[in-house]
Amino acid sequence: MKADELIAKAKNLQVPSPAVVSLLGMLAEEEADNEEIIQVITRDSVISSKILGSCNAAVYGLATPVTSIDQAVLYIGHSEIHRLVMTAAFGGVLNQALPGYAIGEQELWQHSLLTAHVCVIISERTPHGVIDPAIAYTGGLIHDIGKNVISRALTPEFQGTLMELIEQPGHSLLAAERAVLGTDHAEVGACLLRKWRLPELLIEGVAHHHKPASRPNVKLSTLVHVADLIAHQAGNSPGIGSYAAQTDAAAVTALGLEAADLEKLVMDAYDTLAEVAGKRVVS
Amino acid sequence: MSITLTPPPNHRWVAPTPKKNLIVGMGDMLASNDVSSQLVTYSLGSCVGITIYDPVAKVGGLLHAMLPDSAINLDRAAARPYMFVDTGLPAMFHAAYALGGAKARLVIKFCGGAQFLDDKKIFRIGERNVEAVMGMLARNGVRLAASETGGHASRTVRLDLANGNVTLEIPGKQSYLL
Ligand SMILES: [Fe+2]
Ligand SMILES: [Fe+2]
Repeated sequence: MKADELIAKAKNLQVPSPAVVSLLGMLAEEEADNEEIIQVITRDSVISSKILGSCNAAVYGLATPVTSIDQAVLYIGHSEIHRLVMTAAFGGVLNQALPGYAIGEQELWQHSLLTAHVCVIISERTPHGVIDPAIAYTGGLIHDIGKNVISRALTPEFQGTLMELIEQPGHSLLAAERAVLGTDHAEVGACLLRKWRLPELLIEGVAHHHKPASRPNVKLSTLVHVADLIAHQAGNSPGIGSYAAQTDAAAVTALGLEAADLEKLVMDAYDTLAEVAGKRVVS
Repeated sequence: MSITLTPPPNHRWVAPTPKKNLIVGMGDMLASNDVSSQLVTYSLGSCVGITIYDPVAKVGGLLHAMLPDSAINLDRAAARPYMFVDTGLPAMFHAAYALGGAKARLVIKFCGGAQFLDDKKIFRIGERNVEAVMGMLARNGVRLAASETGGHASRTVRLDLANGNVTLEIPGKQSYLL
């Protein structure tokens, strides 16, 4: 398949460590116990040291530096630790400049972080228990990860064709990618996650983030779809064709949201921007 | 008569000093009379960017508003008027007057308000932002010198405070004058 071909050609993609893969597996199966999660993280020395580095960065303003994951959890809490693990695991891929899309360094990263935050905001407001906030955060964070691979295939010539296509009325970026390369960033992202053995739940969220299946019930893609659109309106909207995205009204209704809620969400998302902007990738 | 420009001996061509960028964040506004600078706002999507410039006083302003109507949250509007078109626009005009700009001389340009492919019209923020700006300008008898709104691309906007030039940049394209 075309997506696998492009992935095979993409060199130097930072692969998530086994600890990250098993952590996400545990979360998806909902059998994760906080103790176990800490153990998994602690066993991965690279991730652990990145987490400690992030915790001790100025954003958290801790009086004394933390030296263990246990301590870090005490100070900043489980969900924040989860976020740090995910940003450490995927930041290296997401913060790169993507010249194929005319996306600058850090630009996709800021959009990804904001989408992740909005996923959590929406998941907390939708009927309880639908989607775990940690999974919601991760889905939002990595939804556009396929753009890293697609960007490499977008030569100046292909980029030109892509731009001509999206200038035609009603033509989406996704359809244009498909026309030019035979695949799109959602499909490539999903293939990448499958290759990395990440849980089906996340793969679904990425695969369908531009065309969510919200019936019979809300899925991760439903949430990511709406959060992505909100994030484009509340933060930066980097790169070619960022608004050439089809909206799915059924996804909005499935989440129990109305037009007025969407504007409020844009405002709430805007409020998290300052927080998001402080988060750099710790390498 | 023709004039030939001969560079003086030992002349070295010097690139023009780059303009200082005064960056306008989302939901924010800047007005300035620093002619060595340009006001810049990055990647306007459904947000709207409005520039004003008085060519005589050399005073300019750039507003990057996110939402059409402050009624959605009056407390926020009081704390951050520039988030909304209805509170941000008048505040920008007043900031320009305070720097010596005169209403009659102000050149006003307008861009942004991108839209998704949204057949069901669920995300109408871009469209509503544009309507809000147009309505407000019309009610105050203010004429637009140029505008470029709608579409599916994000726009970066620069206002050169030396001459009032407004430059737009769309990802993947050459920048151009509005
Ligand atoms: Fe996407
Ligand atoms: Fe996105």
